Amino acid sequence: MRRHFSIRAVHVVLWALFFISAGFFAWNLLYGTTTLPIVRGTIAGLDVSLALRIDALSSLLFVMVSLLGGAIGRYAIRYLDGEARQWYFFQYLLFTVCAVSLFVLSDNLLMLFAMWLATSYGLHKLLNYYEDRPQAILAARKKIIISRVGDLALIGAIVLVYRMFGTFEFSEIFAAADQIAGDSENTGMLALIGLLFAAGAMSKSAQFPLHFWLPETMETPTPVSALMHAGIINAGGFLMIRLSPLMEHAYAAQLLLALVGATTAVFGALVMITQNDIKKKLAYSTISQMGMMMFACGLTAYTVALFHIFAHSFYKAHAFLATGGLVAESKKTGFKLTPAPYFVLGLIALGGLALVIFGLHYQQGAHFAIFTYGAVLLLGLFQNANRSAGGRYPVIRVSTAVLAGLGIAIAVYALLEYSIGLYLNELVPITQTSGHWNSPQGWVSIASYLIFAVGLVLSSVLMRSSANGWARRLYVYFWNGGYFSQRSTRILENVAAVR
Amino acid sequence: MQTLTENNSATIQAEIEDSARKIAPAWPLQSTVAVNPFWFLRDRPFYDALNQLTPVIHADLFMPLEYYLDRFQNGAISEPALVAALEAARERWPELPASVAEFVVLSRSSDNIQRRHPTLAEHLKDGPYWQRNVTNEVGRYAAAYFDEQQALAKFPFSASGSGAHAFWEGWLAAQKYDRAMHALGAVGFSEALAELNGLGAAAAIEVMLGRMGLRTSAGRRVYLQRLMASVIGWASQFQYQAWQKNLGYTTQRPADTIELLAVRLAYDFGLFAHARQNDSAISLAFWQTAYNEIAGDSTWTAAAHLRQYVWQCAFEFSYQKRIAAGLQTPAPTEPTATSKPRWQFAFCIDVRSEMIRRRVEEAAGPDAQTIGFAGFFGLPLDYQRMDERGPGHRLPVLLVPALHARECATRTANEKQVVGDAFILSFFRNLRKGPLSSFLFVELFGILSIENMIRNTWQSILRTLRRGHQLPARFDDRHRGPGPAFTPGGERFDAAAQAERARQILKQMGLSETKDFAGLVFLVGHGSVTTNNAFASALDCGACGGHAGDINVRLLAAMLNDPDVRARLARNGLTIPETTHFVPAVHETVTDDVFVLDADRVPSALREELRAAKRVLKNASAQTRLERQFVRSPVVDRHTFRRSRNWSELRPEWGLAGNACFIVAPRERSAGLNLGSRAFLHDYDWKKDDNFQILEAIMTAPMVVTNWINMQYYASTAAPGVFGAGNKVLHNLVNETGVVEGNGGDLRVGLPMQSVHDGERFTHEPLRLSVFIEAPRDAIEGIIAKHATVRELVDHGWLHLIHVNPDDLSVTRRTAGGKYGPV
Repeated sequence: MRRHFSIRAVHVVLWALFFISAGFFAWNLLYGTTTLPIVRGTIAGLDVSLALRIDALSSLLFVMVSLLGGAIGRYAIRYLDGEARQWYFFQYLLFTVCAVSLFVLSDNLLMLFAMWLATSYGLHKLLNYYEDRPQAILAARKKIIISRVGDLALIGAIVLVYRMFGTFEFSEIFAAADQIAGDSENTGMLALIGLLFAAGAMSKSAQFPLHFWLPETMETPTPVSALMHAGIINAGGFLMIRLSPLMEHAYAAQLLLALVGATTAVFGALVMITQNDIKKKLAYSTISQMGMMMFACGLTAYTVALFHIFAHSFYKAHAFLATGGLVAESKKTGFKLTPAPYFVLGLIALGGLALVIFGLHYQQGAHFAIFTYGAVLLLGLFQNANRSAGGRYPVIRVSTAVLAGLGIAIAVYALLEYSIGLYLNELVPITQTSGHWNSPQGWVSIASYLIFAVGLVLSSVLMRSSANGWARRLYVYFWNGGYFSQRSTRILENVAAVR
Repeated sequence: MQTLTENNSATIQAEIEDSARKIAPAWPLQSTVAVNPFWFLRDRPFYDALNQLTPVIHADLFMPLEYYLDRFQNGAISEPALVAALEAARERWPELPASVAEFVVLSRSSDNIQRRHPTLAEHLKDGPYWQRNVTNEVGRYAAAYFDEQQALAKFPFSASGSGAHAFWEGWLAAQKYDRAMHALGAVGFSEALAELNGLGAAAAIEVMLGRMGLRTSAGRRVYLQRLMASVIGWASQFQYQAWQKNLGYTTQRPADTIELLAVRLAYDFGLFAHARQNDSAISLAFWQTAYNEIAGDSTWTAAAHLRQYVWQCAFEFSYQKRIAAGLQTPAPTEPTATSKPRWQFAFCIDVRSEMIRRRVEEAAGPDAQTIGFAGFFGLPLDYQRMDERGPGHRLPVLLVPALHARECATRTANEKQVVGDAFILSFFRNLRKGPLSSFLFVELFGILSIENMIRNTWQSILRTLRRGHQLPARFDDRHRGPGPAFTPGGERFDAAAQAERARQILKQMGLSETKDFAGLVFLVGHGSVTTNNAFASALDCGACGGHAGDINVRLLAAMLNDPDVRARLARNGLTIPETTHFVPAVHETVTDDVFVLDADRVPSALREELRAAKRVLKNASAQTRLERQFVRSPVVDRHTFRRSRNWSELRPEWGLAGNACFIVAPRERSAGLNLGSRAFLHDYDWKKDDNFQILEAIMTAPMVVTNWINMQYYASTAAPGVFGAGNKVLHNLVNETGVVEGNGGDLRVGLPMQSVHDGERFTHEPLRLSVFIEAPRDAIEGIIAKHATVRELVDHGWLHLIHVNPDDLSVTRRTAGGKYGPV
């Protein structure tokens, strides 16, 4: 059925949302954090309110989500033309974009949780776009199960928060948390709350080992993947940033996030380089990037995490929507990517380690997160050795351009990170650490850095595709994504077969 | 004992050969060409081949009966045609009713009972589950084996093979580590494979078939065919490797289709062990018996699709009748032989050219003459672009390249710059692809995607307003051009060789005398400009091997304008007038713009003529655009110019959809006739053809290519689930050379649904090609007798051959064995 008018109307609404978000963004720049109350009432003795919180974090992410929504909507007008369920797609696209927008604009935990559920529902509907594809249904079921785990964790956290603080309002919670954090009797409770929130975030943002539903969601139209990988999957990261004043007091949760994030990042990256199809590859790339984002949250580098969300969203949305162009791109000549020699890798790994340790001492470790994160990025910078895939090339011209490109990019990146730090200003805490490697942060920095270093070596082994038995075992393991997909499929098949 | 001979090794090896090698090859997306998926079945009649395939591929290869009844109702199938089809069919199947009314009633009754032979995976209790996962696993291994581009970590088992059977041996070696089937619940899978260690693919197949208790030759044959069909996409990829090897290209990896068969069978074999342990002895016995006793049921399935076949013939006869009537009506404006045209336009025989040729003739009147000729213009060219990693084979895939050329920068560009840019970009691409460097890439450059997203989105808005007539970048003639050509032996393709080839080409184009040449002779190749389209090459010129025809025409025009070549031609008796200039051009098939290339080489005396010709082309393009907007389906984006630049466009154009006939005759026969962009047109005048060499060339090359195209469209429409590439919305690129749908599964070959269907109905009518040839009957028969391939295609009904009598334009259809009957 073709419903041109309704589809165009939804498209217009999506762009209208974008203009509203731009308005919010400007408002925040001019007038600072503002709360727009909409409804307030009491249900079963609980103060329930619906209010939009316009601050640096929410307005920026609202801009991001609505811009993606508009662009994806625009894309789907022609892309899904002739599809029987195009209208279905647009309905739930609008629903989901609104839900995610309200999620980031939430002013209190109840509204946040309601929108968390609504997002989940909208995504579930979109994943079921092709109801007659068994694998689509299977993927949706896997997603449901993981989501419910996260929901339970979140419910637990919210209940505990209410018992402890007697309110759902973010500002009140954060203020209270700062006051009581000093009390050692509260430490355990705050840690538990933090861990539960972290578990919720991990379920939403596909953290190892809750990641396995994500690579199987390719049984839906490409715009759904774009929306999911760019807009929805960041919800976990957003939650951590939003709750950072609370998470600050939950060391255990931070340690967990850093280690899980690093593991996810490395695992995702290793699986990614073994995949032979583009969408699986992109899915594992998302997993690894989400790991990186959580890693930043765990290091309390919230501004870095926010910038990562922003950059990755557009990058991934574009990557999904533009896969058709890869065929033309694949004809082009250029460098062949080979891993750097082992001794170079060893040197970089040691250099990175030195950087991490230096960061822990420099100014009493005030910037340890930046140093640790930077050390991981450094591993990436020197990881690839490039050899010509065929034919000669103008060496000087190419090296100059590459160096200049990298130099400018790094300078711009540093500037952007700096400005986003200023921009977020008071929303996220500046963590004070004890400033020694023999501290929780110290240990977690070193441990998570070492995970990346191991990943560097393993990826190099994989890329050499040697006939060595150990290397082959490694390849088969990662190529199969650690068998998470097959095992979960088997379990679901035993419970209720998909026909 | 019959079973003894049935089970001897040689018999089984023959069965394996037969089953594995019947799949047609499929080309990678970088340069896809249409392939007749039944190419290796052409040794049997059309009906038999398709009917026998159905239980094996689990899909009907004819349209459903309602489809034909609908066509009958709306007159697309005429009653006389149905009578004729019924009559013809009754010769072989006398049990069919004689009266049309009775046949129509019979056709309204319920559908056929379909027999479906299952793989063991499909037969098990959780059949769909196992089949899905096994297909997935096989597909993953095949993808990993062939992957050159996508994964950075390459399949480490390829090297272990002793060369000939690297895929099979690699797979077997990987099973030592791979727990996937076990994780999926197949208990005893890996243990069962232990027995196969050290066996070659063919020997392993034999062992497995024996263990699985398949004792009869007929049963095994069908079973192996079913296995092959269940991974038909990857089988096509294996067959492609074999095809390229036969043509003398170096292939990336050794690949023998039998290995794929062995691997697929091994999954069934492993599941056989699993099923035995799970106590399904009765079920297994039932499965074995069904195959072992298969020989008996060939009689009752032989007529399974008879009704549809009769309708299919009637559908084709109705179409032929309409075309025949058109060919017999003299053209409204008889081209006057006395006045010489100002311009000649040689287009590709592609069906899309029919419309623009008609419009050019309308716009220019007697000033223009159009010619239909195979789009590679007789130059089988391997062309290396300066920023591409390998050469593109710009020639029909049946041929071997005879010329090699490199792209060169012209005065306005610098090769170093072009190559350097490619390398700079690839550095940052590699940064994106590397496992840890991807983190750095996203941090540093991820943000740039905002600009990309906005630009692409904006582009799709902008193009609704702006119309682009500027030359698309892919046809760039200002900065790049073909350099000198060489033969495969490395010798210079010099003036003498050029003159010889030019003579042949001109003769085949029907330009064999001085008086035949107009002032400007346009050689018009074609190509399609689309954005973000994995199937872009499917819209390009098939005769150029899935590339645009621009380079071939530029090279040919340069040859023909070369005074040295012309002097040699003149010495050989063909004088091209000095006032004649050959102009390369390219027909962009999304917007139907025709771009003149290398215009700066046109002598100044002819500039005014060129301007006039461009005006004509512009007019014709505008008219064609309007007509094409509605010709297949009104459901395409009405902003034509947006279609080629919109990154979200899945239906930029309809390609060759609708193709139904191939007319080999002088243009006067079809001039003024609206063939609806459904006809391949090759100009041919038998009076100028001594010894019928040209006709022989046409019937052995373009006719085969058009059959490939036609059959690809047929199969993608009739059985889109098997021979179509599926839904573009779900496409997932594998190895950057093919697609799967969604999460994985088999490689998809053929045309995507969006190429033949507009969302409501099929835009392609699946008609077998009707080849109309105007030439003496004896000449046609002589060629058929001489070439086995042509004979098989014609005799077995893979196309219809219709003879147009040059004397009285009477039209007769050839039936098997060389009899001719009325159309």
